[in-house]
Amino acid sequence: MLHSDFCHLNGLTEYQLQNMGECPYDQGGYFIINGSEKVLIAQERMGNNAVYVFRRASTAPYSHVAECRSVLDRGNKPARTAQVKITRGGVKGQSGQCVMVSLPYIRSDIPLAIVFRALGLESDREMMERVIYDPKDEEMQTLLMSSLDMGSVITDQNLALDFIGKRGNSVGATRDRRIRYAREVLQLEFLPHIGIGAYEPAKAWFLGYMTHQLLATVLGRREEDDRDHYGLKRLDLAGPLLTGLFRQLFQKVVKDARMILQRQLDTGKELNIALAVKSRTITDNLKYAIATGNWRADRKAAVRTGVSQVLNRLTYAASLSHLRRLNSPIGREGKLAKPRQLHNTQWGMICPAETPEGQACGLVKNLALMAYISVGTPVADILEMLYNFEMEPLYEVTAEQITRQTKVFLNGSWVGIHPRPEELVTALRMLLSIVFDISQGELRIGTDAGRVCRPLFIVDTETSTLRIRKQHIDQLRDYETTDYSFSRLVREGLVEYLDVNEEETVMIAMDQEHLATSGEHAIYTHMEIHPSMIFGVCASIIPFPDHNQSPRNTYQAAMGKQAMGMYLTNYNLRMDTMAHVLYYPQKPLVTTRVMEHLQFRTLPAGINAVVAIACYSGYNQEDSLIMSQAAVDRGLFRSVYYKTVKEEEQKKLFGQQEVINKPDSAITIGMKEAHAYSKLESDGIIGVGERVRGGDVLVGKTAPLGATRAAVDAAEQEAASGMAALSGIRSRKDCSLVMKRTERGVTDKVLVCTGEAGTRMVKIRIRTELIPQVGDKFASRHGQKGTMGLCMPEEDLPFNVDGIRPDIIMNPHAVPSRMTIAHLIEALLGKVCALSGVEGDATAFTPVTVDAIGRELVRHGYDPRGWELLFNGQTGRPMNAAIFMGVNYYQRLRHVVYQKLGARARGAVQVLTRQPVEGKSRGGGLRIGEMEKDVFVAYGASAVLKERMCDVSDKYRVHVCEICGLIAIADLRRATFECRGCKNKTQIAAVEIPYACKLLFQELMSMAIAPRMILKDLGD
Amino acid sequence: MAAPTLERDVPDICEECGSRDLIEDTKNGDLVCAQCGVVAAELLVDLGHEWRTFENDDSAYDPNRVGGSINPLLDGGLSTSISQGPASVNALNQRLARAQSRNLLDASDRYVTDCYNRIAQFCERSGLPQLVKDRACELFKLYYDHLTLGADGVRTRSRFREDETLAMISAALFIACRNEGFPRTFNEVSVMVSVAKSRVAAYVKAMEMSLGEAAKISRIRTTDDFVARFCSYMEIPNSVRSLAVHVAREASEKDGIHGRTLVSIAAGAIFFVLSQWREHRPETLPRSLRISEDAMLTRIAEVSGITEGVVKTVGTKIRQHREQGLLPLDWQNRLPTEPENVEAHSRTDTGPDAAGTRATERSGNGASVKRPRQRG
Repeated sequence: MLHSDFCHLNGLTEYQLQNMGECPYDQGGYFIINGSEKVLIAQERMGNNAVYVFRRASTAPYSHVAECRSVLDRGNKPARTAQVKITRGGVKGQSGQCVMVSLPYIRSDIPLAIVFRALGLESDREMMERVIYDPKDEEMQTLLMSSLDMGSVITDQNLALDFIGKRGNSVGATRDRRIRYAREVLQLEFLPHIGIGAYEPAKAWFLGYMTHQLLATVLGRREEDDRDHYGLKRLDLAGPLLTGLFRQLFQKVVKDARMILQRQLDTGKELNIALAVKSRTITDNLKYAIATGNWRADRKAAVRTGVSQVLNRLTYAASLSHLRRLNSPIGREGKLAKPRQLHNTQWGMICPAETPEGQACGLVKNLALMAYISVGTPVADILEMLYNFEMEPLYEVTAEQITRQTKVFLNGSWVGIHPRPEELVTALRMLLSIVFDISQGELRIGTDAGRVCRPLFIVDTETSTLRIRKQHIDQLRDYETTDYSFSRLVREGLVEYLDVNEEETVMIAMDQEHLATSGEHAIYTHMEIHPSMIFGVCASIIPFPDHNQSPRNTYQAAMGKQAMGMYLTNYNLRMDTMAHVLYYPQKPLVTTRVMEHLQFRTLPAGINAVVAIACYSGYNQEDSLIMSQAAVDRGLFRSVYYKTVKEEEQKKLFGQQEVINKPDSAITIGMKEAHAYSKLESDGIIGVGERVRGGDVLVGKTAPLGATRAAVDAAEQEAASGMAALSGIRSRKDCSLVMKRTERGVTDKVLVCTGEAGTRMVKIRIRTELIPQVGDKFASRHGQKGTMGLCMPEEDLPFNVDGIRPDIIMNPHAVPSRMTIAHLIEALLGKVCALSGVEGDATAFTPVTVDAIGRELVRHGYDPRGWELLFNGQTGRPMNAAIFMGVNYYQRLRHVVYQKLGARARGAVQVLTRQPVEGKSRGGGLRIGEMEKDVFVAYGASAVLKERMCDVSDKYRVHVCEICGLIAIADLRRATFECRGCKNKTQIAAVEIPYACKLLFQELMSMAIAPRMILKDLGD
Repeated sequence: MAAPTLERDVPDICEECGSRDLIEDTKNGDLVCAQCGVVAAELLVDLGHEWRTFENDDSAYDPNRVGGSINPLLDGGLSTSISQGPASVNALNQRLARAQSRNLLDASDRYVTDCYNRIAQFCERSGLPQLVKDRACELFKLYYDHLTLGADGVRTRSRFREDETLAMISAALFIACRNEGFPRTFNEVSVMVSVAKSRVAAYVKAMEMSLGEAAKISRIRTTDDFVARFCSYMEIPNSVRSLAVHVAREASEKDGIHGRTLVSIAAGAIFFVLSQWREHRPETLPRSLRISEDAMLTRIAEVSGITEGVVKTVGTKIRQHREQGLLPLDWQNRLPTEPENVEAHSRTDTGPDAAGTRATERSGNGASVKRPRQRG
């Protein structure tokens, strides 16, 4: 991973990075595999080991289920889910609801009492104590009664084990083996997180706890658990993902080695460890996983795709956002809306605006700006600490203790009980995530990896003021001299990272005002750092997002990733397959506070444009824009497009090497027009600074012809003796790299190097200047996108008294239904900024008012609401209505007509149907599809229809026997026609049908269906 | 109306003027004669991919109508095979597939595939690149064909005895290594494949004789090939290695050394340079080299596969010539000034082409970037 502890770039200064050709703003965090940058996307999953109770659908036999996905924190054991269920009504002679347990490998559910007995509990009283912690709780006791009754027939442990064993996979085994089998299931497979081995007492306590939770939910004392609660979620970042994969691969290496050694031993050969250990397994598979994103150790397991993605390098913000992306691996087709919705617990952790539209909406998320993912600490250390604090371990717990003491949970698993939990809380509060649930008598500690956390200011509860003081801020401000840092704040107890669970147990003030008015209503313990921190990378670029309709922010968050700008400062050294760079990027006049940290002012992606909101000619209808020709001529939104193509001399078997050179037409077949090669230099590679068009050869390359070595040799020998030209043997085939037919540009950089397999490799970067033209796409920062509808000559544009003409005229109809108020406020503030020469602050949730901006405008002699009297550029007359004009930051999006325009009159056809090919890259035609066809049908333009469907598409002539109606044999050269079946050589008609039709007929004939064409002469 | 033109129908000679200079105009789908301009064929069939791929395509469906290419290293041509399918789905299917592969692959293919696997394993273990592996397989196949294939295209036999097989593999590896720029000594190959050195040499000779062109030496070896690799085995830092390379190069032409094998010159040069290092800056020697002179001789002999005596003789000869510009003038400065972390040196192969391979990484010392052409 770049910039990690093991990276060459780790800890280098800005200057050193620059000297190495690296961009100092590149933050790393991705991998480079086979020359492409790969991001490992954080994967969301449910946390392990915790007990969740869910209600079941009213049709299901069980009304509630308590689940625990139990995983041992070390080793590579798969997760085992234990379920405790309660029936809707009575079963088997029991009148009340019964609790059943489902065990791994056991086919049917086992009554709770029998599992308890199998775990070594003898009396019903003991069982009762495991489940009900308050001896006076009669309600729960009644509910549990019938469940305990179900076990009354099974009187001792062996009977219970046998009962379980009978329902396992041990068919026809003896009683002893069944008992041993059942014991093994309980010891090794049931709740493995408690322990693997003789941990029955502890497992009984935990099973009791699961039952308790279940019963409490049934009795309505406790809410059903919320699957979408973010405190239950864990995020696997690159570390855990790679650890998991490595662990599996290492196991595979060991397994393979063991197998080979075993075979060596069996065959009596000498043991050879070097031969047994397949050293490449781990490297190759890790590489494969990172390169393809298919996250699995062996090819047989289910694939987890899309874990690794190519880093988005369109805009700097897009790269940043890509590195903070989350994915929930739930099927995209699922109609379930719940997991896609924004959950209250995601506040401050996940950006509420930035998510894709469509199938992945709400499943792909982005981290909020200050969100942090916990790394995790070893459980053993924490446990030791807890024992030092006099915690009673679970296996030593007695029934009397449990009623009075607090249960301690570590990462979801119950580890013990403690008499004085307050002591623990005060001691551990600053070290780890700790939740003290007094009502449940539970203390929950979280130390595992993948919890989402966020920092908050700590409030001194006695004075109701922040612990952090002005002096700290001052020190932080000149960190260069004081060596003060954010992590110091955390260490000194001024700021604290809280995870979602702990966050729920604290009181958070939104700002200082709330803090000041506390006391009466609430005692605050924490304060938000700033409410705008709830946004992620892309949403933080939006000015006044709190004044927009929320989907507009989502649209902009998606569009900001398509804007052209400066994606890195070293773009001139990089050979990106595709890259856009804006010629004159500007930092926005209307900024947000976070932009400084996102480097948006250093590496911007847009231009401040003077925008008028008016109809003006109608060339801006339906979300199009009128742009000033003069501004475009001066360089507005002009950009370069870099594209890199690669060519490699591939080595084939038997010496059949491809060669990069200038192909010789005397010995090469399949050459293009001679002038296509004219730009190649003597080495067969194009030079730098060459203007290239579609069809030009960039790299000349030839491959030897012929499959057998002998043929090649003969040809080569003849070529060597100068006979080739005379005898006409052409031994090579042209396979040069040709410029795409619709593209043009200038060769910008040529790199010649050696590929991985020792082959010669050439990379050529082509630069194309993209001048804005009609059809190119632009957008403001409020989800207001549009294409250029007209490039209006400057003299025709409207102007105000100062002679200022807009760069862009946007249609007013774009505003009311979309309610992008922030767009208008931005224009207003932008105008003030342009007039006064200062940056405007448009951070979310700051008390800036339109009135205040208006007053500032008035000071500069403008209308407070942004209206202006404009004069029609064509007539010179003042326009009837006042026009709203201001300065908006506009982005040029990467969809440009130059790369999309395609048309065809004639050209190549498809193999199968002989219809014109599809797609711009192949010079394909534009399809008259289902709906387009309807237009001609509606018009009754049948001749047009026939022309489009047949004549200019795949017209074909077949000769049909007039007797049988099947296709006859036609020898056009000799002009003889024959239908063998009918012995008919005279009655044959030529028919013009689409080739696809002929194909269909023949396919039908291959299925023993005879489609007959019965012909009728229509006369002329 | 002209029927669309498939490749087999495309004329290769212009009907008008007889020229063979026919050019495909992909834009208009025409075949045009470059000499007279006549359109020889139109509505050409597009021979590119039949389908288009989109970003969000599910990769499960393969629109390809044909299978993969035929492996020229095997005899088996087109065939139908029963797919294995995922393990969980169908056990019967898997058994069928296995049974089929047993029967279908004929004896010679099975034998040859096994040999290819062994070659791959040997290459993997000695860190030889794909290039060498491919070349070795190819040579093996050629030699195998030479031995077994009759003039009528029928195989006279399909397999060889184990010791013969190994010897053939060792010879193929030796030639492949040498010709692809990663030369190994007979000794090394002999150890790698565990075949007697004399047998490796005999089979190399036999292979060269019978294969002619294909096994011909295409690259002349130098001392550099060996010095670098031996140094890397001994974890000698780069600066000292370059000294040894220099010494070996200079010494090759000197009296009493000229005519010796490259390996012995390389080993002698390393011994000489190491002893110089010991004399002048013993404190910077890595721990693995802080050993007596005899131990050092043994170590070099071990690495290079020649006797200690030869190493010593050549080393002494080089020492006698040391005044004749064997060492560069600044040689003392090139010795390390402080003990280096030995772990930092990679133990990867350092054939001459390896440096070129690395050029794809950041350094760019092997990669060249074209400069803009001056225009008048």
